[in-house]
Parts: sequence; structure tokens; C-alpha cells
Amino acid sequence: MARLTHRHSLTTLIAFLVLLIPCLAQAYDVLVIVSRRDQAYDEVLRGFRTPRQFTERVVILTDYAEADIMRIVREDRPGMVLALGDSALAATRKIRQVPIIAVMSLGIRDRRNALPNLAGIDMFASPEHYLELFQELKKRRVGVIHDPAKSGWYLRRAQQMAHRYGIRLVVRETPNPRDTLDRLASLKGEVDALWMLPDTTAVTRETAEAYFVFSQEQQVPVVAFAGAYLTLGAAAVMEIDRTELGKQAAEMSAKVLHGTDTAELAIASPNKITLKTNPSVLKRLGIVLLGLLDTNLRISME
Amino acid sequence: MALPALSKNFRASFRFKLFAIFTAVTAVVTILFISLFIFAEIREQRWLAADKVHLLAARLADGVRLPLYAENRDALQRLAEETANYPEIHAVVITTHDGRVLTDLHKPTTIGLDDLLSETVEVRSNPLGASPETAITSSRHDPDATLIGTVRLERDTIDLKQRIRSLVWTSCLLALGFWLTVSLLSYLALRQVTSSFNNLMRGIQIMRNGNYGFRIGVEREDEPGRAATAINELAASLQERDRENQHLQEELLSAMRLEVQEEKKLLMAKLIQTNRMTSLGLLASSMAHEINNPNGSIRLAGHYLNRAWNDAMPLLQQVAAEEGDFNLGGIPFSTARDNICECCATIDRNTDRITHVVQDLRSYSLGERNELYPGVDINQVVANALAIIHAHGTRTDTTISADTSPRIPAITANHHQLEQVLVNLLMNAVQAVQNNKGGIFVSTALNDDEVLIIVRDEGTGIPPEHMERLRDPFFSTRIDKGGSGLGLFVANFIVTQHSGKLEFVSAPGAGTTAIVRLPVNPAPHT
Ligand SMILES: Nc1ncnc2c1ncn2[C@@H]1O[C@H](COP(=O)(O)OP(=O)(O)OP(=O)(O)O)[C@@H](O)[C@H]1O
Ligand SMILES: [Mg+2]
Repeated sequence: MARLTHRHSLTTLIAFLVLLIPCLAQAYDVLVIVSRRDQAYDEVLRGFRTPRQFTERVVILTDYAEADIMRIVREDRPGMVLALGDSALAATRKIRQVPIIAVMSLGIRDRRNALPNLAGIDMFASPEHYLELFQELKKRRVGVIHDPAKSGWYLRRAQQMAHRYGIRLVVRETPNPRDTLDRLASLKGEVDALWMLPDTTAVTRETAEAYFVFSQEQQVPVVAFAGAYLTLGAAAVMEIDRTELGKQAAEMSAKVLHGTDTAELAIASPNKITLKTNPSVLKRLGIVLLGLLDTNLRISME
Repeated sequence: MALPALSKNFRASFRFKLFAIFTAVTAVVTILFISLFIFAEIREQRWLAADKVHLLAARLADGVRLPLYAENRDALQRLAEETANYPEIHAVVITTHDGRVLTDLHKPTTIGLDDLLSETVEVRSNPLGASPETAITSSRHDPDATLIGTVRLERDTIDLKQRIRSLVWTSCLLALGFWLTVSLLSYLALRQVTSSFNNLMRGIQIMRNGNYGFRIGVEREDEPGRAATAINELAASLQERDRENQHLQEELLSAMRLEVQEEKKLLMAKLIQTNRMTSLGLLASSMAHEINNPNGSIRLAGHYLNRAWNDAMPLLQQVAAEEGDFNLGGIPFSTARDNICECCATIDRNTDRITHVVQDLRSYSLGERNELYPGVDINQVVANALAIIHAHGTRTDTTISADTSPRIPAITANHHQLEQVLVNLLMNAVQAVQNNKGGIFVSTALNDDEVLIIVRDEGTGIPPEHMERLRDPFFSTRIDKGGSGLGLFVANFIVTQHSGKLEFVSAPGAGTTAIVRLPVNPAPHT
């Protein structure tokens, strides 16, 4: 008899809690979806939280076997969704009613066409930074391999600016990663430097190495977009400051939460870029960075 | 003939056994170690070969990463050929991740697939090569490098086998060389060590053959050397003992010879004495004859003189009565008449006595003494013996007191023999008291049906150790004074013949009592 009462009261408690939780959760502004546990995302989140205090719920995708983001969004009804990383972005693909801001993702522009509620900051540092650097390095012919479908828009911008810096871009288009090596081979003797774009067709895990092999063989510097390539042999990289990226996303989110339509918000470029160099590679290639002088010098270009 | 024995000797020797054991053990150990070494080396070689193939494959895999990704067959072919330049590489096969063979380089060969060492290595993207997605997070998080394809290398093992074969040969030759060297060295060492043993053995062999004078040379102060020293000492003591033995034997021999000579001398003395006695007997016998005749004449003359005196007497008495007394031979007739009668009686008596003495002498020396006659008067025997002793001319200072019992019955005996017994006893008594000036007492007595003759003297006495031997022939303490040691032997013999006993009671300084016990009626003696 007593046991029955016990069980009864337990069931009541659980039912109450289940009903209560959505009511409590409804209070937050931002549902943060993180691709995986990674320090880089933590840095972005730290930046995101610095300027403003949003109420938020964080879902790390790799913590779940299969996170049903749709259900969370339906039940929690957050003010907006912040997606960190490509898999986080992919997880939001069916969300239509809630505005989405994506950062740390390479595929924002591809999706933007399909998702009007998507805004964000892409990973392409403004071409001027690169062109300035090439000018500084006195490299006139700069080879670029890209997939027009993925980074055609960026290259058009770059080419428009290039002549201003007296630089000629030697462009090779590659529709699939396997052709990258071929295209690279065709650049032999044609270029003074290589520009590696955050283009997932032109640069893959398998082909990234080829850029640096080319660099070694042809004695030309490679300028890339992420610090990870410095260790592989890139002469310099234009790295995006992730904390700043977070702050930038926070500003954008504030606008969205205040009712600005995502369609009005263009996909922005990251604000703060840091130049990092590999001094031994520079030395090997006989390059002296006059203006930027010392190795590992951080330059901020806003 | 000598060779098999020599070899057998050698095989039984300490040195050979040690050498055999040592060489066998060395051989076993060498084989064991060489086998272990060869096995280890073969494994090592195989491992090295496999490792080298793996390294080559890994290197090739690293080199072909980009061309394989780009599926650049020319570049792949070139790289494969480069690797195939290694003579032991038999085949190079490069395959994409979906199983398409892009390069298949096989050298023409005749060997079977069994002899191939195959190594397949996966070609994966550079682990450092970051995709843009991971690069922008610059995280170390990197999902497994993607599989681009595989590289398979086949290596033939002909050279490996050849190398192993030559390794086995070299090892075996080395082992053999090692074994031979160790054996030779051990032989030399053993010879050095066992030489002292052999030396020892040779020495012992020589000593066993009886040459205790041999000494084993001691070269070193090792165990055999010490043993040799000990054996040498042993041999020396044996030799000493031997010499002593020989000496003792010689001494014994000479002593025995001396004793025999002494005995012989004594025996000869006794024989001479006996011989002299025999001649004395003969002399006595002839003397008796020579005495008997004059004695007979004297006796006859005496008889005649007596008869004649008896006839002349009345005439002479008449003359005396008529003419008065007259001298006859310076003596008055009245005195001489009786004296002459007396003289005649003396002549008669003494000639008779001479006749008896001579007769006794004759019968004594002729040995008529074996028969026993009844009616022998023991007291008479004692008297006769005393007479002989007196006749023998005893010293004046020795007195022999006789105390004969008148109740003694006549017994059956040989009175000559009993006299001889008594004479012997008395002679011994006389000889015993000569220095002491003691007395000699002879007595007879009747004890139940025994007649006792007791001769007691106050002489030197007999030491206890002599008591047992008194009746032995030739036992005498007076050999130098002409004793023969036969006196008591003969006496005992005679008494025994009479079924009697001869006993002695004596102590040194307390005199001696000799007792002759004779049965009154002797049992017939065989
Ligand atoms: N009455 C005695 N007192 C002391 N010693 C005696 C007496 N009678 C015999 N003996 C000892 O016994 C020994 C043996 O006596 P035995 O008459 O047999 O030989 P003998 O007197 O030495 O020589 P033989 O009688 O032939 O001349 C004597 O040498 C003597 O030493
Ligand atoms: Mg005697």
C-alpha cells in the first residue's frame, strides 16, 4: 500500500518537472550550437559573451549521438541560433522560423542562398590584407587555385583590387580536389608566390601538403589563412582573431534580437586579422619583411 | 702387441677421461651456443628483412601520397621503379583505396610465392595536412587520416637464404675452430696438470713391484705433489720396517742356531757321560773278574789257614801249657790265639763281602734288573744304598741319619732297581746340602698297604718353577758339574714300574723331602 503511494508521488514529480522545464527554458535568447568541444570555439564564445549578456543554452553536438536541434528549437523557442562550425551549421539546415547566425564555418555563403534566415561571418579575410602582404613581399605573380563554385565571388573581389597593388593573380580553377595537384603543376615557373584560399575544394587534407611541396620545389612562399599551415611550411598566414570574431557575432546577434531582419544583414567578413609568419621558412626563401620586420609580429588591420 | 695395451692404458687414464669429458662438454656447449646463435641470427635476419621491406614500403607510401591521390600513373610508375631498383624487391603494387591497381611492377622471376616476403602499407593523407575546416580552428583535433590507397612490396628471400647459409657455414667453421682450440689448450693444460698424477702413478707402480727404495719426484706443491710426498714417506717407513724385519730375522736365526749348538753341546756332553757310564760298566765287569780270582784264592787260603789254625791250636795250647806262655807275632799266645781266630773270621767275612760286592757290581753293570722278586726287604735296600753312598766316599761333614721301621713287610720288587732309586735320591740330597752343611735323614714307614721311603735333606731346596720339570729327562741344574738330568727320570721310571709314586715337597732354602710310595702287593705291571 505504502509502496504504491510512493510510486504514485514519484510519477507526479516527474510529470511536474517535465512540464516545468520548457517553461523555464523559454527565458533564453540564444541557442548556441557548437560542432564539438574545441578550444577555438571556446575562444569565440568567450568573445561572444564579452560585450553583452545574452541568456543562452549551449548544445555541443558531439555530446549527443543524434541531437534533435529541430525539437529543441520548437520547444525552447530561442530568440536566435548561433552556430559554431560547419557541422553546427549543417544541423540548423531545417530551421526556418528562427534567425541563425553562423560563424567559424566555410559553407555559409553556399547555404545563404537556400536559407534567408541565415546570417553570419565568413572565414575569408578581406583580400586587401593579402594583397598588401604580397606587395610587401614584392611578389608580383601570385598563383591561386580555387573552385569557382565556392570562392568565385572572393576571387572576383581580389582580382578587382589586385591591379591596385600591382599584382597579377595567376588563377587556376579546379572543380574537384584531385585536379588540384595538376593545376599546381601547371603553375610551375609561372608564379612568385602561392595564395592558399579557404576553399574546401582547392585545399583538402590530402592536397594541402602539395602546396608546400610546390613551395619547396619552386622556392616560392605560400600565404595561407590559418595558423595550422605555418607548421606545414607556409611562410605567412592571415589568421582570424577568434575572440574578435565572437565579439563581432555578438554585435550581430544583438541586432537580430532587436528585430533586424537577417536578410538585411549581409554575410560579413571578419574584422580582426593577425599576421603570423614562419621565420625559418622566410629565412630559407630569403625574404625579409621590412615593414613588418620581426617574426610573429601581430598586425591588426581594421 | 704393445700398441693396443698402450691405447687401453691411455683410455683408462685420468688424463684421457678428463680430456674426453672436457672436449665432449665443450663440443656440446659450443653446438648449443652456435645453434642458439644461428637461430637468433636467422630470426634477426628475417626480422631485419621484413623491417627493411616495411621501411621501403612506408617510404614509398609516403612518396606516392600526392601522385596516388591525383592518380598520376606516370609519377607512380616512376616512383615504383625507383623502389624496384633494390635488387631484392620483387614486385611493387600500388592500389587506390577503392581497389583499383594503378601500378603493378613485377620483375620476371622463377621463384614460387612461398619464398616471398610481402608487405602492404596503407597510404594515408599527411597527418599534419589540415583541411581548411580543421585549420581554421587550428585545433589538434583531427579525425583519422583518410585512406588514399595501399602500397604492396614483395621481397624475394633468395639473398636471405644465401646469407643464412653462409652464416651457418661461418658459424660452424668458427665453432669448429673454437672447439679445436679449446680442446688443444685444455689438452695442454691437462697434460701440465696430470703430469704430476702420472708421475705419481708411475712411482706407485714401481713401489708396488717391491722397490721401496724408489722416490717419486715432487715437481709442484699441488695435491698430487703432496700425495707423492706422503707416499714417499710411507715408502721410507716401509723400507725401514723391512730392514728391521730382516735384521730381526737374522738375529732370530743366529739365536736359534746358537741355541741349537748349545743344545747339541749339552746333548753331546750327556751322550759322552752315558757312554762313559757304559764303559765304566764294562770296566766294572772285567774288574770283577780280575778281583774274583785273587779273592777266591784269598778265600781258599783263609779257609785253609782257619782249618790249619784249628788243627794247630791244641798243639800250641799243649805247648803253652807245657812250656808256658810264648809270643806269637809279638803278641802273647794267650791273646794271639783269639786274635788269629778273629783274623781268619775277618778274612772269610771280607772275602765273602768282596765276592758279594763284585757280584753286585757285575749284575749292576750287566743290567739284570727288570724282574721283580718277592721277599725284598726295604730296610735292607736302604742299608745297601747307604753302603754304596758311603763306599762312594762322601764328604765327612755330611751325616746321613737312617731311621728304619722294623715293621716293614717284605714286598715284591727288584732290589737292585730300588737301590738305584735310593742312591739317586741320596746323591741329589748330598749334592743339595754340600754348601749348607745340613743333615740328611732317611726313614722307612708303613702306611696302610704302602711302604714309604723318605729321603729328607736340609739343602738348597727346589724353586717352584723347577718342580714340574724334575722328572723330565735331561733336566738338570748341575750340567756343568757333571749332572746328566737322568737321575730322577730313571728313578721315576723305576718307581712307576713298581706301580709306585715318587713325590717331592720342597721350597727354596727349606730343604727337600722326596717320598717313594710302593704298594705292598703291586698290581701286575704291563
Ligand atoms: N734333594 C734335592 N735338593 C735340591 N735340588 C734337587 C734335589 N733333588 C734333585 N734336585 C734338582 O733336580 C735336578 C735333577 O736331578 P737329577 O737327579 O735328575 O739330575 P742330576 O742330579 O742333576 O744329575 P745326575 O743325577 O744324573 O748326576 C737336579 O739337577 C737338582 O737341581
Ligand atoms: Mg741326581
